[in-house]
Amino acid sequence: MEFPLLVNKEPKSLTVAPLPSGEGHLARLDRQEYRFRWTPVNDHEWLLDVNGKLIPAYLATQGSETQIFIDGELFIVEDLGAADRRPRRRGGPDDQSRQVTPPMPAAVMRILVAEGEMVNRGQALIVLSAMKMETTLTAPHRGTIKKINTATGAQVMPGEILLEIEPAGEEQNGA
Amino acid sequence: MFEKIMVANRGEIAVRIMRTCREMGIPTVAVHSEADRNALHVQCADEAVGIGPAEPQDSYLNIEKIIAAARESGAGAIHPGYGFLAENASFAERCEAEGIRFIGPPSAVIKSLGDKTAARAIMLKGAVPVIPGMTEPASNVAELSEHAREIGYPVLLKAVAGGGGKGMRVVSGPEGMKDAFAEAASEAHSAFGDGAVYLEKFLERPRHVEIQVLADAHGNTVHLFERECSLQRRHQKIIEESPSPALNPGLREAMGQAAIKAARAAGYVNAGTVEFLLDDRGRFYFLEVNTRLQVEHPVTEMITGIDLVREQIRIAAGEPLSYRQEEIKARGHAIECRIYAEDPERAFIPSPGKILYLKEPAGPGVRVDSGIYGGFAVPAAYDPILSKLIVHAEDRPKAVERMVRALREYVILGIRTPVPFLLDVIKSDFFRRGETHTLLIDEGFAGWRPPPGRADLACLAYAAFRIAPGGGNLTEAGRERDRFPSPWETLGAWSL
Repeated sequence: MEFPLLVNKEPKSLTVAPLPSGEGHLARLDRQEYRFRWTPVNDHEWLLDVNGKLIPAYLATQGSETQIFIDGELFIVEDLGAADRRPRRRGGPDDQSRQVTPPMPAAVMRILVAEGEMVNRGQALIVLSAMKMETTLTAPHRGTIKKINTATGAQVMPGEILLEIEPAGEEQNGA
Repeated sequence: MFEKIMVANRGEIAVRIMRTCREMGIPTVAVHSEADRNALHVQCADEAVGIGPAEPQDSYLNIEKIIAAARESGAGAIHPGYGFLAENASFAERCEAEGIRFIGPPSAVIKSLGDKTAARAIMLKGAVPVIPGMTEPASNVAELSEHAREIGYPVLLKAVAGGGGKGMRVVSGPEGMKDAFAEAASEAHSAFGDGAVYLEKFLERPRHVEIQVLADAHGNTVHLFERECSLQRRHQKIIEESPSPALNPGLREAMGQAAIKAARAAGYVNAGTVEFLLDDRGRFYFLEVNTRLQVEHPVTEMITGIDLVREQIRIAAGEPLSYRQEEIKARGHAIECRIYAEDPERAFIPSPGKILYLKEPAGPGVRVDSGIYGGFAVPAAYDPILSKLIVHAEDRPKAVERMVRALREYVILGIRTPVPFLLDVIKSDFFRRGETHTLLIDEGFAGWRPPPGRADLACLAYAAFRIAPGGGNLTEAGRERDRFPSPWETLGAWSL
């Protein structure tokens, strides 16, 4: 069985096959080989036996990522094999750089710019508040404010496009 | 003694206060907003009163509603916890007028010490050393700029009503003053309902050392040694310990006496904390008095064995202190890590949401003061603190190892927490050597990423999760609960 994975954004190519002896599985990861077997303890807790060493692993799936906690470390696993079956995110990286979206669920405190206004890279655009902390979203590049999709007091979520910026000509590619 | 105590707070601190009340045989009343109907603190109380919508202004900060809830439930005293109304003099005054005992200092003391500039004036008069800066709030940018020019950049803008890093900005030069003033004033206004700010000289790499004091209404004041709170991010403490690796017995005694002097100068009653900045030459400066129970109070409880909440309640009921200074002894070493709902890989931005799985550490010398449970949705409306992990051991190296062990056991899935980050900090040579200062995290751990670690194990865990019958479809805690047999049936019978 093949698992094309991203672990904390790093690609990992995993192959797993049952051992003929029926004594567990053999996993191949890059040039490493592991003999392993497991037992679920509950919905989120799995006891792994890797090369004879017991390792408790804790898992929860949220959207396209699986969070795995092992011994104080958190790993975010994305399964590229599973992702093929899901719709891709709208817009390429180029689109994203023109859109301003909150990094966390938050409330809009102040909007500091107006549609049609020219802004410089790094200029403050919107002040958000989440868990009593204020965060200022700044312009990713120089450009013109094309559209403002939110209002003061609105509750906003990551991925929601609060503001669109038309890049100024000279910075269209890169910067 | 009180017949019933209302806790005007939420989260871990409300739970912690209720636990002591229960040990004292005093029934408790919880208050909760609509967002907190299913919060842990509600489940720990004997009674609960709803006080309105999620917005703090309409619930936990609403004096009318809190007073009405106390009246309705017949509570004779209110414990305010920390944050919200804990350092609000008008609230304490209102309690006094209503004949409800406020478990904290008298309103007049909160008022004078809560105004950071007035507090500086009191300490100057009481011969307690203070940091150079303003003793009046600033009314405009020009005034701030002028003071900054006088004492020299960098300066620190602070909320007059402040605390907890809210409404605070470091300004390194004149060009940054205007924006910093606007941000600090706005943040101060939304956090404390008062946008007034002032400035002090910004000390580059101080240690933040505070002294716990207890004072009763009969004129007895004692200190319970120090807490080292130098490890901060965004001016908010994240790791605290006691004793401080920076103090020797002489300095400890000098700071303890200065704290008692400060408490007496202010006419202090109940539990309070005198905060000092300590420079690398052993000079210390008064920073502020926190007129409340501190978030990090458990480290003091661990080394002294004294329950600070019990003392607070006894003092509020008019009883004398349970201990004389010479009876208070420190034993061993305690460390606390604050567990926030935040993403250490993305500049600690808040990470509210549903907790899909929770497993808290336990065992020798481990204490978890928690306000969460598996399945709880952490609201975005409040401070991101989830819990505090405290360890106690014979000495500092053993306490460090115990904290490492406990953090490795601390499983919180569904939201991001700083557990892996804290582990990295605690295991660092800086921390092991006790070389902590307030900028260590901002400088030494800027742009932190998790160590490469054992990603291979995560891959194996993922594969196991997908291959095993039913694996790979678990999206929410409990949804597929019946899919697996109990561990009693499966342990010892390994899956293929």
